[in-house]
Amino acid sequence: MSEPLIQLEHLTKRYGAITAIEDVTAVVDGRIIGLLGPNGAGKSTLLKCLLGLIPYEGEARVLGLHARTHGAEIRDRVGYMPEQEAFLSGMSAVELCTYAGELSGLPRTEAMQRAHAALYYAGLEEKRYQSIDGYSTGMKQRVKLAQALVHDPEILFLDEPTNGLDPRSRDEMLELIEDLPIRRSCSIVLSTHLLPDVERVCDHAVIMHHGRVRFVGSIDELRDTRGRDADLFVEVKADAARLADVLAAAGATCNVESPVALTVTLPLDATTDLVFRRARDAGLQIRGLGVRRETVEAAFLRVIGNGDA
Amino acid sequence: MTRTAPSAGGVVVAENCSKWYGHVLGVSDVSWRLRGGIVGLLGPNGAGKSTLIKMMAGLLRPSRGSLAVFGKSPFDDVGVRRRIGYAPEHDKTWDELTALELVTFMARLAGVDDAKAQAAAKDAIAQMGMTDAMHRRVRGFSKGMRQRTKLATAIAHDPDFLLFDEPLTGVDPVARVDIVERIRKLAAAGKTVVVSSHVLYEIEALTSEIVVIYRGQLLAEGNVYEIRRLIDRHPHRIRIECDRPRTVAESLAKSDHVARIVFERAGVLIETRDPDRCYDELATAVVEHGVHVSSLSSPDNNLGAVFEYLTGERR
Amino acid sequence: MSDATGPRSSGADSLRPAGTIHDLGYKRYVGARLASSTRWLVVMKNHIAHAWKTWWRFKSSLGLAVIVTVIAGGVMFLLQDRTVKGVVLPSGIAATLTDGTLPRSIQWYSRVAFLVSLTIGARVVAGDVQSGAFTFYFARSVRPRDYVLGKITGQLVLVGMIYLAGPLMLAIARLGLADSTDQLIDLLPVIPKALAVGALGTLAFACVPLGFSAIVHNPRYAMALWASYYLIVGGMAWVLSRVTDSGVAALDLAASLDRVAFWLYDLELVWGRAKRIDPYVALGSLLAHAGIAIALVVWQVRRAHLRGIGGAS
Repeated sequence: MSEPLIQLEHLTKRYGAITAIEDVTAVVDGRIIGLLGPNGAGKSTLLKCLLGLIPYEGEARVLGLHARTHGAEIRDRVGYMPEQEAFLSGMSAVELCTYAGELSGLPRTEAMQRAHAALYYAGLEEKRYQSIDGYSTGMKQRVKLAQALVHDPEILFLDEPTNGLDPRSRDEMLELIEDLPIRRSCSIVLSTHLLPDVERVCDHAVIMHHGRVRFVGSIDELRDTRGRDADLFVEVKADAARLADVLAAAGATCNVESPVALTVTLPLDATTDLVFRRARDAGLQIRGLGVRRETVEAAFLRVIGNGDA
Repeated sequence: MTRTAPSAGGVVVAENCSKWYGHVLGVSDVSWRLRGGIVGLLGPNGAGKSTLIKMMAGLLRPSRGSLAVFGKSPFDDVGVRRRIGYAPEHDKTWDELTALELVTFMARLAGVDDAKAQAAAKDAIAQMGMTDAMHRRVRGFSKGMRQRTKLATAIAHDPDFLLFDEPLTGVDPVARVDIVERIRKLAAAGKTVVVSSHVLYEIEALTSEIVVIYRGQLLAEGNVYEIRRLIDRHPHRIRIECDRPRTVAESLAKSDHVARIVFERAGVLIETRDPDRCYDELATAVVEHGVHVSSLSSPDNNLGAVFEYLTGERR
Repeated sequence: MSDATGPRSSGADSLRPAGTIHDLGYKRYVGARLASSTRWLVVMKNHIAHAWKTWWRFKSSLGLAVIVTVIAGGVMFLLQDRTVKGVVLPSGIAATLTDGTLPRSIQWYSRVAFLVSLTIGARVVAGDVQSGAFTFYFARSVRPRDYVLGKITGQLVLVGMIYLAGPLMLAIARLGLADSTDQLIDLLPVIPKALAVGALGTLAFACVPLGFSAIVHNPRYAMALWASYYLIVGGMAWVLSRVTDSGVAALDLAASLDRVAFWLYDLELVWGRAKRIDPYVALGSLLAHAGIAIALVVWQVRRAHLRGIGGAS
């Protein structure tokens, strides 16, 4: 796929006096892209523009197609998993997904086959003939995912896919999301407020705030890479404070974060060896160690915070 | 339906508390004492969390056993209910009211004097950071603002015990940090707070005391680090990235607690039946052979893993 | 799962067939996509299939319509020469049952069509708004006009199975009961008349409930509102009409349909609701109701079209 997924040039959308999107120019590409931003940042307006559902100023291209003129074609090649309920009552999962396929232009038999395949993939084998009205939250989320996959999209927009899921189901959903680009060769745009999810699955991110794009790029680029090899986080079995004292005596700078965790900045010429030795001498057990990297959440807050000025 | 006299000692004392809805099990034989602070309530969907919360809020009465808040049954005692603030999971409310009107109204329902209700509401709204928007109708609110309004409703009558069911759902990351901070302030002011959530890292941000409900029963309670230590008895994976992985592997291969050793790109992954011993032996190997370690981690060493282990392996 | 793909075994030199493992992996769809101008057909077919699924949604009403047709036909056949009280030819002579049954049966079809409008019609748009169906539809290459066209034609087909087919059957029966070939030829216009009445009835009972469905967000309230309009407002309009001697009764859809039927069949009612309305007013009322209803549906669909896409933020 030579075309980048999404190309925006001076994209602007105004609702009367309110500017929802302001002069955005960006190229968005990647396998799993996180679309992040506080409420009201313009994410849903952006989505509506990309799907060709509302008029806008400037240029917006999805898979090389102009959203303004080829909206319907884009929607045939793109799948959308909405945040809210989006069902028709009185239908089973299979019927809904088949209908979804047909509405995206697939012939009926093809739609039926793919509906079943999509539901299997989403983990809804046994219940797929039952009416959706009786489904639990987790099952409804899976149906929403399946109906977005039926027509073989090249891009999948997921809006808060782990909403309302308990930890196990969230895990399974995230595994599915990680698997999709590999198994079904589609790219994913993931819109969510749960930054650890982004940390886990995304390789790129787009951050919006007040209608502007504050960041576009890979997750690695997002993180502050100012951390050096000497900046560590350390986890112990117990008594982090004592380890901090011991290491401080050896010249390191430490900061206790919890009874079992601390950050350590090694003195010049020292290696992680120092930490292990001193811990052993003090009878403390190291359970975790690594170079401090900024979490996606911290990076996000930093980007948003800076932009407020 | 025998009700034993609730014993003293603790904000919440549940003794052999069970709740059924006809044949449907809510909670089963839960005995628990909550002394104070912030506690995270965890559990899969349908495990009984909401039932437990509603019993604590005084909306349900136990079918068997007892559940006392401040020594009284919240279902029966109006006085003690006034000391409880409950923010339910849903936020269906009167959309056409402004935030201030809504919180004032709920405060009056909760027993605050009519004359003082508005002032109390304003204070609660300020505590939740909603002062700018308090004269706007709830209908136009974003999810984050709705959550804040809901929490303000729960604290307006200055209760001592707070029950928050999924307070951070749908809240954007900026607002989340803010609301977590405000909940911490409430706890620091002496209130006892129970927060129920599916999003484990939200709980981690708030507290290290947790209670896990599974299949209607109390599965685990206490400090999450302590609980984590307790699951040391079960197979753990430990990943060490270093410059001499084979040396490390050699040293550990001799130990009988090691179930598996897998070589990876940058290091070695050890599956052990006794993580406690394994960590010690690793440290010894590192120090004795002068191995340079760049990273030591375990995918099984966080709240998510604790939860997964607790609820996953039991069938 | 292996499959023999080696050479066919044939006698001495047959090789052992080789095994094959089929790739059950994911295959991209490389076929054609149907033009987006056909989406409304998909919506229509789905609407009809959905109505057909349970016994209570549509099939029971269809059964009732069949019963009405059979009974009316039976009356026409068995009581051929008896006259109908209250129905007269323009000259004043009492009409026979054979002739009179045609317009008289219309009120029965109206009743059955009203049932269908309750079980399906009034719930359609409101139900979709409530369950979030618009997000489902419009995030795809379905346009509001596809939805509106599909739902209206779907409902027209369903109601038509009652209101077009029934009167048509009876008209054919009437022809079958002709005394002579000459009379048969004279009577031929009965067919287009039946179709005209049927078309108007179908239009009214398909579109108007959809209109009510579009203005209320809850399918049950929509049902109640439609029922009150049809029964209560209609009934009161007729009473008002008697008192003020005006054509307000045209608001009563059933009465308007009756009036148009009698007028088309060249028969007069001696007494009864339909008498007081000018046939052109009745016709206009029916068309106006249908037109307004369709406009309401279009308005609601346009309004709710983007709802839910993009989420709460």
